[in-house]
Amino acid sequence: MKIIHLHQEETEVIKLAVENNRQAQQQIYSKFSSKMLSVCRQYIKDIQLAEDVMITAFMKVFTNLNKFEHKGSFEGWIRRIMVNECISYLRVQKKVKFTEDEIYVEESFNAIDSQFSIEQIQFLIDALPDGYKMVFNLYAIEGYKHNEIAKMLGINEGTSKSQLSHARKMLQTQITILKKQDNGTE
Amino acid sequence: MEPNNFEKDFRDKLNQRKIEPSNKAWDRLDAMLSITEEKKPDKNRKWLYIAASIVGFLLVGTFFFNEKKNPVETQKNNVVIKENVKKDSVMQPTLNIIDSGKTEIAISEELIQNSNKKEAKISPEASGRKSNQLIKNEKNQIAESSVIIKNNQKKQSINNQIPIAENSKNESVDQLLNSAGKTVVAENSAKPKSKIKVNANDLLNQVDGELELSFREKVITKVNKNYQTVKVALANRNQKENKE
Repeated sequence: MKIIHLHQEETEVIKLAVENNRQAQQQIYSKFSSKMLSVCRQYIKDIQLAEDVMITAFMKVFTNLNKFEHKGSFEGWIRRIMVNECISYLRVQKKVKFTEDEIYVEESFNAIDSQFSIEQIQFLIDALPDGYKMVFNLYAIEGYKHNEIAKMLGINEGTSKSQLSHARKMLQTQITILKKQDNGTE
Repeated sequence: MEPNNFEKDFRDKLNQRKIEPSNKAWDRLDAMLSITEEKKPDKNRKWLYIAASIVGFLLVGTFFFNEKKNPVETQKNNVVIKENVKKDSVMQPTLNIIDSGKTEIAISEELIQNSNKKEAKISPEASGRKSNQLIKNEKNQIAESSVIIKNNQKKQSINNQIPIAENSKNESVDQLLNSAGKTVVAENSAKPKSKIKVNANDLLNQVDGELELSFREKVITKVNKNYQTVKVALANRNQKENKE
């Protein structure tokens, strides 16, 4: 009952936000901004730039709020807008070029029990090149499929797969280095 | 391809992460939203203006085209009218000319008649006067002669009767003069009466005729002008055609 009540509350808030009710808009913003800034931070290393992108993405959220059909989760809808905004930012500002090498190796990675802190995880992701980072984030974190990623980035599915494998390889090596460092420190 | 363990870990931890944006972030977003809200009505107004202008252009266009159609129709009508006019002008002028001739003739006739009448009125009177005067003179002469004869006879017969005769002579002359003057006065008094009577009707008729004529003349002149222009144009064209 509480969940339904919350949902009803959310729809009401969305309705108000559609009518440019600033309080409702602020309510939505304050509810999702911290999570969404985290999402933007996955893609953009600079927190200031990540915030800028988040703001522009929130602008798109509010201007296109009437298009939200209340079918999926509202958070997921906002998150998709954030991700798309980050990708478009990286593609436009950083002019990310994907190397069209379709030779990708499906490696079975060793099960690494990574007990890293969030800062370490972010550090590892930040170390990835933008192309790898985008595909890895979209595939591993957001849960998009390769064909979806290929559409989003305007690349071939094979390129997406190869980019992911490259990202994984890089990450694995980075994780092993980190683990060694951690073991050494320990 | 199942996600690796570290990926799961990454996902879970990243999804749990929350980074609080700066306090300015909302202010910036608020400002941006207010700007777009200000722009939105402008956009709507722009659309309204565009729609209104389109509607206006359509209306103007429709009116313009309708007007265009009408002039064409009117031109057609004009052409028809012109043709009619031409036909009429071909027929009418002659008729009008005839009419005008007739009227002119009638008027001249009337004038002549009037003048004749006047003359007739005047001449008989004048001649009458003259003749009367002549007759009177003759009569006087005759009377005088008769008186002279009488006088002579009387002289011859009675000398005493001379002054009486002379008196009678004088009396007769005076009487005759008086009678003549009376007749002349009577004639003169009769003449203006007749003149007034005749002239009033005639003048009215004349004035009416003149008024009608002035209107007619205008029409006739206009028709004649148009007819002549058409005639000249046709003549020129025919000449050109003949030359060619």
